[in-house]
Amino acid sequence: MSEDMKPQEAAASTTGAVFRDAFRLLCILLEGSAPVAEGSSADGFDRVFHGQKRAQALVFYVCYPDYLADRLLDLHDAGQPGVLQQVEMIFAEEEPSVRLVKMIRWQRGAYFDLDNSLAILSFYELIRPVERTLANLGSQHDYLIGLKASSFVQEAVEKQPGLAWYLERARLAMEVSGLKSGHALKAEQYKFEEYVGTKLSVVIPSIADQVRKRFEKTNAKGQL
Amino acid sequence: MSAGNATNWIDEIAAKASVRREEVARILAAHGVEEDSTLPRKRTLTLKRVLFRGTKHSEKEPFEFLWDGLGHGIWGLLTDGNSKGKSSLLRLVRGAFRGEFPGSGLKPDVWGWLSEFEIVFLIDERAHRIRLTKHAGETSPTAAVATLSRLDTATEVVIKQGIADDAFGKAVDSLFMDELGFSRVRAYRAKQGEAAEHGWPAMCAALFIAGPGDTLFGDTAQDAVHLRLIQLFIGLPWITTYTCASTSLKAVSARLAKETSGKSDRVTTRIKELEGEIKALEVKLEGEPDLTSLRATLPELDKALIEKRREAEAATALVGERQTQHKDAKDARTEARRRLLQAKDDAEARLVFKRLKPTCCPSCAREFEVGRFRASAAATCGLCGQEEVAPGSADELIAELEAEADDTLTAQKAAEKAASEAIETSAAASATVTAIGKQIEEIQTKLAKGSAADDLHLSIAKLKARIEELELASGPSIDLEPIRREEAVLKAAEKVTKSLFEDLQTEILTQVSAALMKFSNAFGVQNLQGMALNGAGQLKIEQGGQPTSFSKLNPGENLRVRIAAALAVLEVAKRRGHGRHPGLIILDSPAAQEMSHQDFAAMVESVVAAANEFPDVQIIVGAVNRQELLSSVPSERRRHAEGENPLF
Repeated sequence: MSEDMKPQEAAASTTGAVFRDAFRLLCILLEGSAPVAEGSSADGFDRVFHGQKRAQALVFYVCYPDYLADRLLDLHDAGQPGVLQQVEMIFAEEEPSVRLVKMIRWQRGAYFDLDNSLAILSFYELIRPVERTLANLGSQHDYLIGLKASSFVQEAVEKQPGLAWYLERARLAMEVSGLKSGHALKAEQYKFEEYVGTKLSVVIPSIADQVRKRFEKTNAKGQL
Repeated sequence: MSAGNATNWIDEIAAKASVRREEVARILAAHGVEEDSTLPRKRTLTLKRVLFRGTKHSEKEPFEFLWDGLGHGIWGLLTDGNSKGKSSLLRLVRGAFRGEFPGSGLKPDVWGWLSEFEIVFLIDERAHRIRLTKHAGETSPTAAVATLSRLDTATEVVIKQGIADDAFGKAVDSLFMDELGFSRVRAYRAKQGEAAEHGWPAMCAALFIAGPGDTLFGDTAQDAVHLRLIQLFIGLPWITTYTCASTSLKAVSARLAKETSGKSDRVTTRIKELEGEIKALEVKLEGEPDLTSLRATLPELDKALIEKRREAEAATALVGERQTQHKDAKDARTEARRRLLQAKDDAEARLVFKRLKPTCCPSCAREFEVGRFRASAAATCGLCGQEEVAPGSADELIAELEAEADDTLTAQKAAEKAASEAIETSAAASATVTAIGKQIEEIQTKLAKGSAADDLHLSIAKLKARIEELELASGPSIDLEPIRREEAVLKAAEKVTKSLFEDLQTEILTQVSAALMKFSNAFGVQNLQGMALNGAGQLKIEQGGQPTSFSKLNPGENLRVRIAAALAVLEVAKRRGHGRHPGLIILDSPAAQEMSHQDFAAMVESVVAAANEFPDVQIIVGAVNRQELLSSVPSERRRHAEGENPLF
């Protein structure tokens, strides 16, 4: 990532929670990965996560449970079953405030410095960042990932049940995102007024109150 | 019923009138109606001496007539001719007894001659004198000096002295009424609406019989005085009580009639209606706001409003402050929890990552040299060369964060409580402000609407004025109930009292009638079949088979019946032993009315017989001399002007 694309002062917790941040990213990369093409796996990395922008978009959903809840309500409105309980849990656990990891608005939307996390994950040989040239001659960061990472996450969740939340949340984030591209996800997130209205370098505000109201309204309607 | 039951007199009245005994007693006392069942002792009046001095108009020498030593029994004042002074003398005597000078019927020339006149008389054994002096020739009554005195053994006690006017008459009246123990006859004249009283002059009139008269007894039939005199002289008990009750009853009834007729039911009803209207207005007035006091409350309320508004504003500000504090506390709590969670998660993540043993350099991806880290005593980072953090080193931080989370929870709870308290205070303050505002608004609405109180006050005053007018026009509004009770009591008193003597009166009147018949027959009243004196004082006569009455008798019969009545009363009184006739009878010219010798003789005989029969009776007869008198009246009991001589 070029220097000009980085904010002057990283809003993310760069100290004190590097392993947590790394684990969160690992869960996202794992859940968002897809099998590599036949025969192209190497050194045990048999899956690939496409796009750093996509990773950022997913990190945003994990770090801002209120935005995720709003998207989940969209799914509910679209008729997907079982989603409302997830939203209910999010508010019951006060996740929009307690699980909030603040992100700042940067040129391409919510930004979290992933470099430290990527370094740790690479050091432990859980992922391998690669750069790929696109058809339009642009480049994209992909992350190779494999059995070692999935075993590691599985074992970690067993040994430290508190960490299971990150895996679950990565899955939920994927549920609202599907296999959309990073660009498409960002476009989706720009639909949030608060998100798009936030000035550069400023922390993206919570929309917990209005989402809670939306949930309560939806919930009340569902109970009628 | 007889007088013996008198002890229950008041009780009987109370029962009849249905009024409490105490009130009956009070009402009777107020009207002077006294229980009078017993008769005072009979007193006698005896003429003792007559002195008449004067100077006749044509003469220089004064004359003197003195008749002294008179007493009980028959006495004759006789002249052989008419106009010899016998009637003048008797009229002077009569006038003196009544306290009237010159007295009725006295010839003016005789009054002019008079310089001194006196009578001495005994009431029982006590001597009294009535004396008149003036200059002979003086005719004005005011020039005469009259003296009423009591003659004790040695001295003369002057009771009254002065010109012979009404005051002197009153003194004489009082003396006789008191000394003889007579009660005045009271009557109520409904037509004039006044009470009348008859005293000594009316009674005295019954003692003098000078010719025919309108009434059987005395000189007046007004107010039934003649009947009262008969009742008095024959000694009927209860008469005074009855008369008094009856008189008072008439007065009270008249008053009641006036009160009730003065104010018609219509007026009373109208007054009641007006009073009802006033009451209704007064009720309305209670509901009307008092604008002045309302207006007075406004500044106070305004002040309170400002104060409370300030308090409310302060409370609202405090709420904001407390809510901010609460939010801050909440945020702090959230932040603490977030940081705690982050620390825990990181510690856990570190643990899992540290289990991995990478074999190559993260920077160049080549394999580590064997023994690259073994030389160091402590675990050192192969990359940055810093000491590895020991596992569990985050425990302290986590413990701190946990403590912080607990603290922030406490702070949050406190802030929440403080905020809700502030909200409550603020709500109360706002409610107070609203209430005061509403109160002010209501008052202002009332003030704007105005009050009907002034109009109501005016209406009430007008109604009161109308009531006053009605009452003024119809007499004062008095409670008629006490007057009605008074009337009932007096009516009962009259009835009860009358019942006490009625039977006795009937019996006595029957006796009087019989005696009257007897004497009248003897005196030559012709063709009498029956005479009956009734309780109303009327004398029914049956003469020649036809009913007639006293007033229809001819003058001769009239005079004879009058004299007969006087003797009849004396006789019945004597027989009953209760009579209160003073015992003095003076007859002037009884024979004047064409009386035959035979009848006159019978009359004189009867009179003399009466005088003899009743030892304390004195009868003085003034008459033109007749043989019958000379033979019946001893010479020492006669003053006789013989031939052409006058008495004085």
